[in-house]
Amino acid sequence: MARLVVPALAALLLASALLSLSLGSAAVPVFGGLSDWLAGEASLGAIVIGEIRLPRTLLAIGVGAALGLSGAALQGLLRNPLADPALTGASQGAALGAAAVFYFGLLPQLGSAAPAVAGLAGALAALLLMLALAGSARPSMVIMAGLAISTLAGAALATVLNFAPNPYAMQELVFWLLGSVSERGLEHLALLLPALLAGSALVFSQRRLLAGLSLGEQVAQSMGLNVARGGRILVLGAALLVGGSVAVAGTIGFVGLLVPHLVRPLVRHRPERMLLPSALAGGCLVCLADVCVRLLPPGRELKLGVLTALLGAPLFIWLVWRERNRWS
Amino acid sequence: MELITAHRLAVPGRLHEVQLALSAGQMLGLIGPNGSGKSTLLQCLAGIGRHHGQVVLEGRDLQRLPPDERARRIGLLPQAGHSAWALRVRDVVALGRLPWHDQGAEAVARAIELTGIGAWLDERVDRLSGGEQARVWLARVLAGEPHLLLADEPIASLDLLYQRQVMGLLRRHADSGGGVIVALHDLALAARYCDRFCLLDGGRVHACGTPAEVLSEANLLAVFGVEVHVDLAARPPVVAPR
Repeated sequence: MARLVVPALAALLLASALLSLSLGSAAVPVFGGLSDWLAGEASLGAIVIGEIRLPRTLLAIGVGAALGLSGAALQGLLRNPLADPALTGASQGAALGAAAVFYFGLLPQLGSAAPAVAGLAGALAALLLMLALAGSARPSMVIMAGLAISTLAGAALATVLNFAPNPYAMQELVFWLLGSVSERGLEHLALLLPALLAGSALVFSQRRLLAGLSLGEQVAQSMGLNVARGGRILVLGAALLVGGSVAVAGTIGFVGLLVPHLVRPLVRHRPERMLLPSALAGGCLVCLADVCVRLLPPGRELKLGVLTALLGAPLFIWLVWRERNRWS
Repeated sequence: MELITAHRLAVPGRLHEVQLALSAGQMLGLIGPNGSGKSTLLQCLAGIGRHHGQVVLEGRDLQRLPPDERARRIGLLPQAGHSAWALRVRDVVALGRLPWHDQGAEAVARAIELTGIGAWLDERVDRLSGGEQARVWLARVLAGEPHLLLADEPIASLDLLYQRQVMGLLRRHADSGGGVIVALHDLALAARYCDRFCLLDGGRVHACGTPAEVLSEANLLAVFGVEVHVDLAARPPVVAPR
């Protein structure tokens, strides 16, 4: 069964993507529109599919994959099923970077991609601060240092909100923070993709460490694994993934926390086998959640991040409940 | 050639100028009161503890050995084994092959057979009893086919049957040409299985040598502060507080 997990999730992801591409107010043939767009023709289908739905779909999948993968990596490293990617401080750092753009109107030459670029920069800055604070100490220090940097960035973000130049800027910022993949273009994908690729490469390079760490740091070290160095690489990878996704889509909560829980029983709980399935499942989940957002009655759009939180929180409560019953 | 030797091994505040040597085929019992430095010494010998002095493994400086190569020659069985995830027994044993970068089906099968855990391969390791788990952790180490096996109180919290099984497996590892260094609190059981002893006291070696040289009533009184009755000629040997 474990062998079928990746193909099954890949098929599910493809189906979700096709569903997302075919869904919208205008009835357009998906494959016709795609081929027109690829051929460079300016038909209605090419514009609707290629310019609007494709970036949105790919971005949803990319963000979901980044969040799912970073969750699997961090939970494996910290050996804590409640570890959330936002713990690294990268989420708050990205939010602060983007908020600074909305507030000060920085980087006007980048246009609509400016918040994303600033978000990525903010995520990297928060991450470097966190790594410096955590030092070469044990991975559990990452939680403390991440919390400290998150709090710092959160305080700065609150300050920015407090002094927002006008209600409109504040509203724009809050909506952006709620998390969404709508009204994004391929330039956002171009920002997410390098972070996704680099972060994934770093995480995948430490698969053996994740396996060894299931038996504790001492055993991992005795099996020839470099826990300190590998741990920093994993944190860096996870922070790149989270920072990249927050930078382009705002905060989409619970995906990084929940996806590993859904995947774990499918791979016999082996942390090193969780990575690819978590990325695929994360992509599916966010893509389908975005489909749900678009299916809701028109009017003021429910933000994607709000929907994942609304769906994720009860699921999380159920997980805690199940865990409690196991121990009592 | 010695399998492993330690020259003037020191960890500030924990170990002082420890000298130690073990040949292939020998099983060395590391004994001493709580806090005497047994676990610290085992970690240094496994190459995962920072220390002064030198450890030589099969003629090579341990510090300069690449980590993978070191891990293929030395297996460490820590005091309290646990798995962070609900892994299957077969997956735990397979982790022993990590230093080799292979599946090592033969070595894994042999470790499973030796430890007699074949019946629970698909069980979750966290659902096994303490004694069953102890054999799974040992199987993980044996699957790595180490020359030198370091075990830190492997029989603490085990009942009589499992104590005998685990000690028997360690003895068998030594008899088949490997080396074993085992930290123990049960001196009578140690006297039955070990052919060398090292008695630690406050991070220093109080005595090192054969059972008769180390397990003397004078040595044990000096280190443990308890009058002990010793009869190594008895079968099984007796080492008991008076």
